[in-house]
Amino acid sequence: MKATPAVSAQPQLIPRPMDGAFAPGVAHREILVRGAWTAAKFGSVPTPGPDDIRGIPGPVILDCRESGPIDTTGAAVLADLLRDLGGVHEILAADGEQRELLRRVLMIDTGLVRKPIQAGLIPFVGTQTITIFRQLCTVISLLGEVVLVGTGAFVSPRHFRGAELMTQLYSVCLMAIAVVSLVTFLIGVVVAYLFSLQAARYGANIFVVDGVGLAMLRELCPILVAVVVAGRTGSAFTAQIGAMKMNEELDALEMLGLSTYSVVVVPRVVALILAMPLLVFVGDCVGMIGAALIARNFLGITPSFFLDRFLQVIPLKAYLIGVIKAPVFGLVVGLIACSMGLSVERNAQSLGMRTTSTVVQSIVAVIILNAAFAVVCATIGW
Amino acid sequence: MVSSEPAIFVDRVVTRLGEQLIHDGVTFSVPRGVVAAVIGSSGCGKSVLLREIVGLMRPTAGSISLFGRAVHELSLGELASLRRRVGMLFQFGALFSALSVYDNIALPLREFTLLGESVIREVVAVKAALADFPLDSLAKRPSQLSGGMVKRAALARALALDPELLLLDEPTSGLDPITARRFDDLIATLSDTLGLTVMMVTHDLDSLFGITEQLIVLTNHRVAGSGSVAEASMIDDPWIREYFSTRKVHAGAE
Repeated sequence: MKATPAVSAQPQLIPRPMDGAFAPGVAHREILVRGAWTAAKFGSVPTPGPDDIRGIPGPVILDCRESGPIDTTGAAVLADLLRDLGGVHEILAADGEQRELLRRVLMIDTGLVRKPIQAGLIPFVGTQTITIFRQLCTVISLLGEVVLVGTGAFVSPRHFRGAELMTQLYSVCLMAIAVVSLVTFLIGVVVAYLFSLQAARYGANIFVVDGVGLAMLRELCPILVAVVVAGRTGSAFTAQIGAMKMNEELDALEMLGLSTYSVVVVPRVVALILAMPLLVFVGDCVGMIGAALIARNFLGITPSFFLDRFLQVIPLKAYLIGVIKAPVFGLVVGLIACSMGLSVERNAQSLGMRTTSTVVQSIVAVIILNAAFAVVCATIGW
Repeated sequence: MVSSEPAIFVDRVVTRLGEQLIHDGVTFSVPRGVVAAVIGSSGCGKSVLLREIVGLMRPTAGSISLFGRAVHELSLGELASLRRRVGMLFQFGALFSALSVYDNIALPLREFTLLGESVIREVVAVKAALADFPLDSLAKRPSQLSGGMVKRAALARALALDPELLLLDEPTSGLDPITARRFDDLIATLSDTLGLTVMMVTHDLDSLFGITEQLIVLTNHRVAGSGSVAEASMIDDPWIREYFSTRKVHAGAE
């Protein structure tokens, strides 16, 4: 660049009212472009305001002959400033390349630009409602597919993916035992402690066994295990299936004549259905161990007395209700996780959103279902 | 004067990834304002070289300079400001999938300039138009675009901050021949009008013969030759002979 000092100079526009160049007596403006008009420059200085060049009517001659470097960003800024003035009639440029650049940039019709639109509240509520409804529909239709493929497996067991089921069971059930135990143990401890504070006041220490046993077996344990599984396994299912979808692996399966449902969805859902009651059983045991620990240390109830009382007062149906709920929770978590995974689009954001949705929706669904179970049990007198 | 420094100077670069030797003393330089291309068999470390040039990877030995500044000896701040002078077009576009094309192009402008939103709109339009991206598709998400459109959008983003050096990783791969030739023309035009230095990794022979001014051939972990396409094709190396013979077979079949 020949105008080396101008590289560091501030970008500025100097208007110069003239007349007579276009037609005798007709006013026009010559606008001198000075300083550097580059992306790097606008990193540290603001763009000149349009006020500098307003006020004088008439056609515009743009004189860049003594300006510093102008790059495409600078040219775009110039174009933006000049747009209000009704365009440029003549460009005086330092060289042919600069003229070509300015000419091309000033020619661009920015009216065509479509910016993304921010939706308002009402469209937001509307689209969300439709989305939730659609998701419900996909979960239900997925249930249909799973039942079809699942019953098909009974008809021809050869096509059932036993190895895949075992792999899933390993990660869904066996690997979850530690975290399920930790959670239920601590909750068992806390609930027992809470009960013991109340019971000790009335000298009813022994009823802690009744209270904690019933609460854990019937309500807390299935819910806790379902929440842990939703967070740990549900999210993993969605992420796995979503990644497979993004990678066109699901399409590849279909092309090999395999069904996505039988290879990917059914083993996962069945694994969850089988794993949940087992995990609930583990949770029941560990939770009661935690409670027994509190009973021994705070209430003076020996573990063997705790066990006696437990067997005496806790009805089998309390355990059964918990264990019957478990596979239903597993089915729901599995269906939500898989349908979310299948609806992942080919971008990273949607994968993250679906995974989050899986966890949130699974937990909400499990709690709603649990309430429904409570109502049903009350109605049939259990 | 500063501009006498080559845009890229790769000096005796050695790269080992684990046990595997990738580069063993790769040396070349690309002067400013030139369209250069790197070719070499698959897996010979062309993309690795590109990543080393912009400092995303570190060579085992040797040094790489951009505009006379050693990339791997800069502080993080200096490296960031050097990278602002470099635009990179990744092989699969690497558009931010969470953002619209408009916001993809606007992102660097919003981050690194003091331009207001209305000016940014103008600038985005200019960059998109330069990259031949249709302005009425700017609101689309990357996932809604075809392969060619993704490349154009990514090029517009790479041009956002008016880089002096443009690095292209397989710019025409996955494009149909017509779109690929238009993309080549685009690169050539940009190089001419904006004075850009361009370095690309490519296997597209038509790109090579069409727009490349300097060809760098990587074989056996080294630079087998560097020069104009005609000069490079004369190099006595089995891989180069075979490479260019595919062109002759191709031409003969037409």
